Amino acid sequence: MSMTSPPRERESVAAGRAYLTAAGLIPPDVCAAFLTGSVARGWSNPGSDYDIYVVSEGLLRNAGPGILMPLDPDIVPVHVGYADGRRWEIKYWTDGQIQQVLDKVSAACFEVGETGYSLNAVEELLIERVMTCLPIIGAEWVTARREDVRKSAYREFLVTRSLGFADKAAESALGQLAARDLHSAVLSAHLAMRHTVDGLLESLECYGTKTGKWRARRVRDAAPAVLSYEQYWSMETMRDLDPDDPGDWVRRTISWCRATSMQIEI
Amino acid sequence: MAIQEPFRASQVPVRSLDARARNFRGKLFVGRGEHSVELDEVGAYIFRNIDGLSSMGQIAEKLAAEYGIPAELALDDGCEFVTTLAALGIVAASGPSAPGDPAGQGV
Repeated sequence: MSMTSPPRERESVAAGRAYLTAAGLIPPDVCAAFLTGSVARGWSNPGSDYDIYVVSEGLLRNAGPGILMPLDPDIVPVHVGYADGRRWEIKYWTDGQIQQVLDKVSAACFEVGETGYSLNAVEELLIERVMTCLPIIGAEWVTARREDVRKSAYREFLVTRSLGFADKAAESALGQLAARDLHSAVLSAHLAMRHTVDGLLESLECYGTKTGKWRARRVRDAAPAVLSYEQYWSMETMRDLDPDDPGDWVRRTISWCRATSMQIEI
Repeated sequence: MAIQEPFRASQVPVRSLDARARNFRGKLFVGRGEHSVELDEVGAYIFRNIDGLSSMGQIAEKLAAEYGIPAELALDDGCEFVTTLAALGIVAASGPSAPGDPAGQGV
């Protein structure tokens, strides 16, 4: 965090540092601590939590309950507290756990055809958060991990997964359309659109697919050349769906999905 | 593979809604059902220019200009390529055909 950061970011980072320090939540072998989630991305509101990830060399002991993970060690301790009218959630990762997560999306794994499903939702979110966080401690560590992510196949795994989901949803929509199950076809086409948008955003390294409530924010921030915000929002809200002819909307939406997926480079 | 009537200059090809496409490391792959093919540069150029509005003749004109090849050759090669994709169900013909054109098959 430099002195040239926007005031909002500086205030958020200062608040995070103050909370960690006051509560004695910084382990002696800390590698990094960073603010994540909506606060870090500038999307927060007065009710938003403060989410902080702390990375240390060793596993934090006696930290209370945690999340069981398919990693070694197999737990990510979580501290929850309240201060200044906010909920604070601190997740404690080890540097080794994060390396294991990155190994699951290595370029070598992608080359042999493994799928993105080898990451669970918590692991996928971890990488997204490393890429979008505001460092509190250890900015160099964050910079190095971001470079590791860019060298990995995380982007390729996610784009491939999203476009695969989009294809499946499109096939469902067309099948339902053929069977005159029009309302189901609309829902399937809408799903296909969302997956395609996710794939498009991921291709631009704008991650966060697992938290769908921020899709509109992501589209606005990423500003894809092939999709205006207005067009996205029109499809998201099905603005031009004619209730008397939903099939037309389904066909136009699927056509957009197909054309867009062709423009997304994996 | 179904027998496919060759495309003509007047026909307007459209991409099938159930055809998939992937742009993988600069290569364009298209497929439908169990079929998937990798397109070369010229094939990808033609496929990208199938917009549901342009006739094969118009696409061939663009192709000839882009690659500096004779218009007739561009039309012959373009039609042959699109006919192959049509046999796989990846594209279909739409729009008006020339009067008496036996290949017309609007969708």
